[in-house]
Amino acid sequence: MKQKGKNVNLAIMLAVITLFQLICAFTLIEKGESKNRLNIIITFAGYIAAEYLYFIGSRLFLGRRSFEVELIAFLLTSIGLSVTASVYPSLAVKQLVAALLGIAGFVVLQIILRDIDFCMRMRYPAAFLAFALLAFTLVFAKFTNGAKNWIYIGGLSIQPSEIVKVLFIFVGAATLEKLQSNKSLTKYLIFALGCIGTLFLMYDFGTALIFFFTFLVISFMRSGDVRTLILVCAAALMGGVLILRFKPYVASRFEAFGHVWDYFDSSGYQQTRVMIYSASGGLFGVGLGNGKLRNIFAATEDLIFGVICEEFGWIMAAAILLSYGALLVYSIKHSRYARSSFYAICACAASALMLFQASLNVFGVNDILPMTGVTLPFVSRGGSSIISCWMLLAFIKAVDRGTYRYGGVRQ
Amino acid sequence: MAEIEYYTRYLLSACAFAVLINCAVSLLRLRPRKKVYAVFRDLATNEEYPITCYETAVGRSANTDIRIKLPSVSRSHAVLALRKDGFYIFDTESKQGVYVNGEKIEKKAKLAHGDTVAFGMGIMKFYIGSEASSDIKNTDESAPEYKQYILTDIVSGSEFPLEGDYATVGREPGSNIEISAPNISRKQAVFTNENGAWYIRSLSKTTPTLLNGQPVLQPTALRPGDVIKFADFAFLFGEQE
Amino acid sequence: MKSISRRALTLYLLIFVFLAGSVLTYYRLAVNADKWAMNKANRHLYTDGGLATAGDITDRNGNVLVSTVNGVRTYSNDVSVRKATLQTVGDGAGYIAGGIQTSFKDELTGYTILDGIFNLKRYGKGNDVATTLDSDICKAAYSAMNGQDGVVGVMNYKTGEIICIVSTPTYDPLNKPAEEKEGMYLNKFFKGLYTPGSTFKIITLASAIDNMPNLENMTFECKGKNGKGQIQIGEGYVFCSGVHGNIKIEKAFNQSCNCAFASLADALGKDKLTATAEKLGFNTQMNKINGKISRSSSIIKLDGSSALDVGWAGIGQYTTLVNPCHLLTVVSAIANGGTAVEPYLVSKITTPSGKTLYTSKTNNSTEYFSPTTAQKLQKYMRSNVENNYGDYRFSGLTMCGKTGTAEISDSEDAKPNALFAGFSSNPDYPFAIIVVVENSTYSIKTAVPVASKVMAAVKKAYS
Repeated sequence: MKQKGKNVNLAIMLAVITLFQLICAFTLIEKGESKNRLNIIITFAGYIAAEYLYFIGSRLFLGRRSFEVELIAFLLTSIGLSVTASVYPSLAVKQLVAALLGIAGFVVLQIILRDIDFCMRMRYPAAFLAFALLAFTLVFAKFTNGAKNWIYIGGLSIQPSEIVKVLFIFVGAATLEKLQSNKSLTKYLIFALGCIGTLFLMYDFGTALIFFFTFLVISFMRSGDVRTLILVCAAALMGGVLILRFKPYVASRFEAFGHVWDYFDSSGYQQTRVMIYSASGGLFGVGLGNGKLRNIFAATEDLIFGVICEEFGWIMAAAILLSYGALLVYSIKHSRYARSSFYAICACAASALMLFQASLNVFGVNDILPMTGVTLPFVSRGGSSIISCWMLLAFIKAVDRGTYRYGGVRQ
Repeated sequence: MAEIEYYTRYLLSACAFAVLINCAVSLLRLRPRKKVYAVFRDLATNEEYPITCYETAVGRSANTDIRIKLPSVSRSHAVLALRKDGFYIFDTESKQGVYVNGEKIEKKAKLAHGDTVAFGMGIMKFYIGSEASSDIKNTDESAPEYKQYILTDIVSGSEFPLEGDYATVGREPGSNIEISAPNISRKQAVFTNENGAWYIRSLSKTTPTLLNGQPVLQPTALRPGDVIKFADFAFLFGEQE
Repeated sequence: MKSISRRALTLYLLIFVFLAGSVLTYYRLAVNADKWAMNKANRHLYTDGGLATAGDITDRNGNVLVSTVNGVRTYSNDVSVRKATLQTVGDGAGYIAGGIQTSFKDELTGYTILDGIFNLKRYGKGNDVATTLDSDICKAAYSAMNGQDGVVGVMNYKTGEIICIVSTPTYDPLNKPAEEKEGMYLNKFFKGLYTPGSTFKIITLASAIDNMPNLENMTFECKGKNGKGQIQIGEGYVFCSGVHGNIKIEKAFNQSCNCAFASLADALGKDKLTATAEKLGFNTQMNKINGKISRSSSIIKLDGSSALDVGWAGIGQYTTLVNPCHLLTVVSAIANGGTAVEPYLVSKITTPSGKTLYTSKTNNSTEYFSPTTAQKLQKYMRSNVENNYGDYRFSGLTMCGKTGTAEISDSEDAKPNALFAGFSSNPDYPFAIIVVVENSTYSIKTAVPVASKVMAAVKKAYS
């Protein structure tokens, strides 16, 4: 389907991305210990192969023309993969597998999203699955870093709340006739309360906040009912104040907010180190592998933005930030011409979720928001996180009617 | 080595920046082209509503895509949706219901080219494609197998054959049936032809249109022998011999 | 879909907030970048709390005062040079606030917004800072101080180059003493404030020259008994170290007669005295040396003072305080015909690739004294050395100067600070000197010999 504006040239962009990845791979091989070389080669070769497979496949067999969304995701993922391979060479292959699973999930979800009637029927099972996953986590997870959000199955650690993000949006979206027939938010409100409440019980406040925000976006998109949402926000605010009041240790997590330099060696440790090393990087960074922030706890997850500022430089970090914004703009623009309000809501919610999560991460480590310990979409290390991000991307992809070749229109 | 690395840093930043910014700018500028998938034509006003979205809300509320400002139309009355196998019309719990070719639908119905859809008193003709409305008129005219109906003024005996898609009744000059009486509205009522079946819809807000003594609140199909009354003027609906 | 897409437009607000947050993040990063990068927790630059990787600091002759060798900060291999230049060069850990290693951290590490600290990776060092110091003269000054606490400063009064700074007590950075001595982290040349004692008579004299046309014909009275003169000013007395009888101004200046200068100050009044001092930079924020190293301002406060207090202030007692660098600038201005030059310490900063980032310039814009006043002051200060301190101490230098012995406590046992401020009027050696010896005796016995040794070293170095 024709569009206004010009699509990027896939061949050129793919060549530039490959160049980027090859430079990263060679830097890592050149600097790293020889025992890690095989790991790095496997990681990058596997990733580049998957990349080409995807692009060539969708260009030749699906006849697609628009690849901006995937190009951004592929590049962001490879930045994260490079940092992981550099800091934890032994975990690089694991991260690659997660990324490949994510890409597979992206493709499969796109296929599922093809059929709107099927999607609408699957909303109740999806809601049930979401509850089940969260309840399972609540029962079986052990406390890790103060939150109870990880479950361990046969040596694999999984964060089910990441996958629930996808279900949460899927359940919340609906076709226009469903929205018009039943304007009540009650059912979705109950579902959201259940999810967010469970996350609170896990002490995973960052994710709970993301879910709450996504709930607001979806509810607003569905009903446009600002009054109810203000009430919900007021209730949430009161709940938050009560929690901070009666559970002072929750408040103590955020004590350093706003003046991290006064908590230089205590609760402001990570934030101040991010600022120190981000500053050390300058516009073009100190080079992959030369950073020092990587030695700080959670450098490749919560502090990844600082690592990128330090090792790749401020310019690349800024481009990463802009691309999250661009994904949301894209979703907004396409929402009018989406194949259903279901896709419009899914895409806007997914891209808003990513933007919000990126804000929590980036502004958290830079002391503009309290640090909540959430990941930077696509870039942070973590299997569940990367899979979840790629699946969210399928929602964004599905909003573009050009993604699917059929139209049901008498041409 | 440090020298190589020094310049590689610039190259790396340039690569990532080029891809991300190029894609981001492209995403900011890309906009799907507006495409007309189908057209609704209001039979009363002859206004055309191009269908440019996959899902189109119909109703009285300002939030709808096709807004029909009639009291008999619910705020959100119906949704027209383009699905994999064609167009569907969904009744979204409207008070007056949705009628396709004179039949009230249960929840949803598939629409075909040329179907007549009634949302309360808003009666629309549905054409698939962007410029089909003119073709339809021609095809309608070349469809002689339909029975011809006629209205007869009960008092004067004057006959008004019903032809084409619709016939208007009112004080307004140029109405198909012009009644110059002060208590008749300028646009009193409209007779519409939907695949050979004739309907009546009242347009007046002041003077009731009565069908067999009952006020016409929604488009109602006519049967031969029906008596239609506008104030003091009564007409008999019958087949033309 | 109109309703949905209209609602979606609201999400632009989110993008706007996100962009605003991003701009704020980058703004704070850009504004604070060098401060953050220079933080002591930055392991790129610091190991064990000390600056590890940075550029060289050299003296005017290219002698390395500190450099990085194999990732370790290495100081001069001469222990006296290390001790003599410590407060100026600064320590790696930043205890010495005004040291070059602290004030020029950005330059020494080669930090730029463009490349961050990458130059350290690239060259193994940062930018080199060349100073105007002469390590031999510093060493001579350090040994001349002979373990006494105080300050020696020498600057070229034509160019403003500071060629010698010694501030004691000091320590060897390679062998830091366990016990901290008061003042060992302080560069007293820039940061110290001393009661000027009789060196302030230069300023009282300058005020008198400007305000009293009849000065040279005036006679002052210094009478008393038991070898101590006294004069009544207002409600009380100002005492003199000798009994000078009736003397003229030149003799009074030579003999440093307190009675004469107290009565001069009394006659001038506090407003004129303060005006002269403020014209010379008292009570004003001094420019940072090379725009980086801050220094203390000299203070004179005579508001609400009694006539007696003003009398005491006229001979450099009371609450008046001077900064050694500032007093050196004042005598340099006299030597330079009245125009003060801005002192500087760093002459050049070069990148590892040889590019010059910074070169200092002589900046003489402020007129402290009119040329005639400067000439008269030169004459009187020259007469001090000729007639009192002895030219033999400064052979070949045509030295001018003024001593001062500042009482810093009313207690009988308290030892005074001895000061000497002077300059060579020989155009071959355009140098001014300030010496402060703390807890000393009469300056002629302590400060003048130190000045003599340092100026001899200067003369030797520039012959």
